[in-house]
Amino acid sequence: MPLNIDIQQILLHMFNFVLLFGISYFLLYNPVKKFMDDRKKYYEDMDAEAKENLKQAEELKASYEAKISGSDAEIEKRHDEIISEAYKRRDAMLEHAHKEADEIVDKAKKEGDYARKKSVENAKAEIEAYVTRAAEKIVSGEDPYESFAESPKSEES
Amino acid sequence: MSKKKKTVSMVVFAVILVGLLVGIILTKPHHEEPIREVMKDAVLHESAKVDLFGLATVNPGLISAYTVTAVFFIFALIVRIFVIPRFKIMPGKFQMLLEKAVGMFEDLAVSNSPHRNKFLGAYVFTAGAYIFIGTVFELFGFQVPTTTGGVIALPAPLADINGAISMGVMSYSVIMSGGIAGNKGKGILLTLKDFSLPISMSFRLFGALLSGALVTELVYYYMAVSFVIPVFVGVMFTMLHALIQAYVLTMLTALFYGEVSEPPHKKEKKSKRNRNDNLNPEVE
Repeated sequence: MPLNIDIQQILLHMFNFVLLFGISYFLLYNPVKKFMDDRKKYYEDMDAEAKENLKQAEELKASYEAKISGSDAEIEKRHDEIISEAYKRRDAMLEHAHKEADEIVDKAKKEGDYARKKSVENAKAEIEAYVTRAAEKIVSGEDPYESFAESPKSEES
Repeated sequence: MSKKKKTVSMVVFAVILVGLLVGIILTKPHHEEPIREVMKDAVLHESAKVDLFGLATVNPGLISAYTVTAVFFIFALIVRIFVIPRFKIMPGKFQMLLEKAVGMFEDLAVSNSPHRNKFLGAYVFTAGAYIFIGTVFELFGFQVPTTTGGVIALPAPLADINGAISMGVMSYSVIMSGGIAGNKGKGILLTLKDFSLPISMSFRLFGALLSGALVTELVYYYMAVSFVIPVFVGVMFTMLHALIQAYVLTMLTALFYGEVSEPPHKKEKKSKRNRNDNLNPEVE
């Protein structure tokens, strides 16, 4: 054939190349590529895991933030309740105190009235007794002025 | 410049000068065969044949091809047994070199044929490694006995036209296999459309690799200082061809493979309403 082209040698070259392909594929290309793919997967998994962890952390953070904001509201609500309760108790105590004060004043008034009435009655009775004794002495002839003047002394002694 | 550097420079300069003088004195311009015969033999290998284990008489390029495969096999076996099991997540220098080589061809396959590239990646890796190592192999100048009783330095496997044709035909076959896998019968037609591809691939490889050898032969033939200059010229041409041809063939194979194996895109049928809207845009 022209240019020294030889079919047998072409086939021998092809056989050699196919052999080389097998050697190259099974001994070099595939193992190296497999290692590279595994490493890539390792880093992708690591990346995915990091992203997942980040996502979980974000969710956790959001939940804690929600809890914190919720607790603030709860604290405020509780604070308002306590203040309101304190006001109610204060009002009740004041009312009770007012009531007690009114009762004490009423009682004092009643006792005062009673004492005044009693003293007036006693005074009336004493006056009546003095008048009666004076009248008796006048009737019996004694000097009513002297007996009136002596009577307290005798009483004091 | 320090004293030590000066001394080294002087010694190197003196060695070069002495070498050149010895070469000029010893090399007589005697040529047993004319340049035409030398060039013809470099291209066709008609006279310098080598015996292949007593089975056939072949071109020295074929012996180079099998030697390259044997060397590659030993290297790959050592790497597979001793290096790859010790690969680390953070790679060392040699591991990085291997990963870079594999990654480069894999990227070439993925970028040119995104839909189907597993086999293509392995093929272009092997082809690239074969062309590069085979071409650099020429630099070592291993000598083998010829059938005529002389010796010949083993050339690059692809400087043999049979090797270049086999490479071109196999690349074309790989492209066609991609077409069949991706598009069935249409893939064959798409591949056959570029029927000149195996010829262009083969002869591009052959011509490019041969040109380096021919230039070196010319330099050897005509220049009295042929024992110094070819070192630079030969290395330069060989290295350039090793890199350029490895890149060109793998890139072309990946490109055509991607083209013929690309699945067909279904055109969306336009509805009548849309068609009317396009015809009368101002109606709305």
